[in-house]
Amino acid sequence: MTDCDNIAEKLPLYALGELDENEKQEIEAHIKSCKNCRNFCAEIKSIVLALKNMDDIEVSEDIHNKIMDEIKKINYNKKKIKFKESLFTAACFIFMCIVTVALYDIQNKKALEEAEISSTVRQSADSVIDYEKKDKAIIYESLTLSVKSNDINAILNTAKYYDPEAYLNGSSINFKILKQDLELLMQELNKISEAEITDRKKEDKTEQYNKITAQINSADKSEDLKELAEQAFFMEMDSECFFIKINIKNL
Amino acid sequence: MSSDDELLIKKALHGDIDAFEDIVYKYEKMIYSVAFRMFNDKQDAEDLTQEVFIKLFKSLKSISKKNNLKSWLYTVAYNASIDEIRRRKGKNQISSDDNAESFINTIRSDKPGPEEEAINKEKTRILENAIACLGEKHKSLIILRDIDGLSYNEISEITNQSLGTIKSGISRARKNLREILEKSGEIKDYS
Repeated sequence: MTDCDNIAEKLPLYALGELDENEKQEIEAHIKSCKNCRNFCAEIKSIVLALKNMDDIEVSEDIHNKIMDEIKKINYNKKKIKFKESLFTAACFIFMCIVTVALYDIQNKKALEEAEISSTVRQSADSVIDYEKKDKAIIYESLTLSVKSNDINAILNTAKYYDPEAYLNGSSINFKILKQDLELLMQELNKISEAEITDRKKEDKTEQYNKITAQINSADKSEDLKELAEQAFFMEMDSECFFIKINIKNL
Repeated sequence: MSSDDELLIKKALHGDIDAFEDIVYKYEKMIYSVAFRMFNDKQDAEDLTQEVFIKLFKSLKSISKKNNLKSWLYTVAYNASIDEIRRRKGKNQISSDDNAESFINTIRSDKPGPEEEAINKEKTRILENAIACLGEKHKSLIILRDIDGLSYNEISEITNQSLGTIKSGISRARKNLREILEKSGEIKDYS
């Protein structure tokens, strides 16, 4: 292999000054005495210079516009998809809210039903009555309050403060309080809702009470006694108490 | 990335289409030149340029501050053009050897007359045709190094090749280009 063959690979780089110092010196030593390699280097250099000086290629406005038209189309489609995704997300969110409210409502109703059931059970269990009220007048005073609230539990808890036996009956709460506590009750209800008395009445139940009492005294079967006791329980009202029925209206 | 490019990309990410257009204005000539020299065809160059900028638009989020936008664009243009040329070769649509032969014959038989373009423009035409005869790898190296003036490090990053491989490739590309011009009788203009 000649010296020319040895350095042939490096000459195109040497011609443009792209070799390191050691390789450069090796080639310079050769081309001093080799015309072919010298001419080769000159040709390469000239070609590369011509390449550097080639006319610029201009981009027409037409090409630019075609590029931007395509970009704008993609951008528009991207926005459309984003909008559809937002709608879908919003729909999912609304759906989740509806589901959550429905679940809450179902749970709430279940709690109310349980409260009602347990209070009913309690009433049946607690039907031990004092039958020493024969001579006392049994006057029912009942009030109906209309309450606007979304929080049935809060109203029930307020009622239970006055009567632990307060119970839910559909969308109303039934309980007893002393007359002297009515004003306080109204104040507390108005803190958490809008409450007003919509109905007020008195009923004399003395005769009914006495009748049940007599029946209890003469009853000899436990099932009869139980039923009579329940009836008597509801009779155990006097003029010093109100039998309150709160009708709950959701806001 | 230059602060100008960074700002434009940030704006474009926020939906500012005018900012993206500024990026296109800044780099379209660079990409179109590479594309045109790779394919030696206006329509192909236009298609490739559009492809590069569409890719950029879709990739804005993933272009980090670390990226050099110019290198990124070159890399996409380089890879897309190499892939397309190889695809056409696979379909026997082009062959650099055939191109070299036809180029040489054309040059020999179709000499320009005095009424034709000025000598510089003619030289450009001949050079462009000669470059078109190179294989895609050598062609891209000549474009990136000798026409566009990128450094060896930049070319190494764009082509994902080592410096040694790049230098060796450039050397062979220049040698081949010289041979094509020699066979066509044009080398005397470079002596």
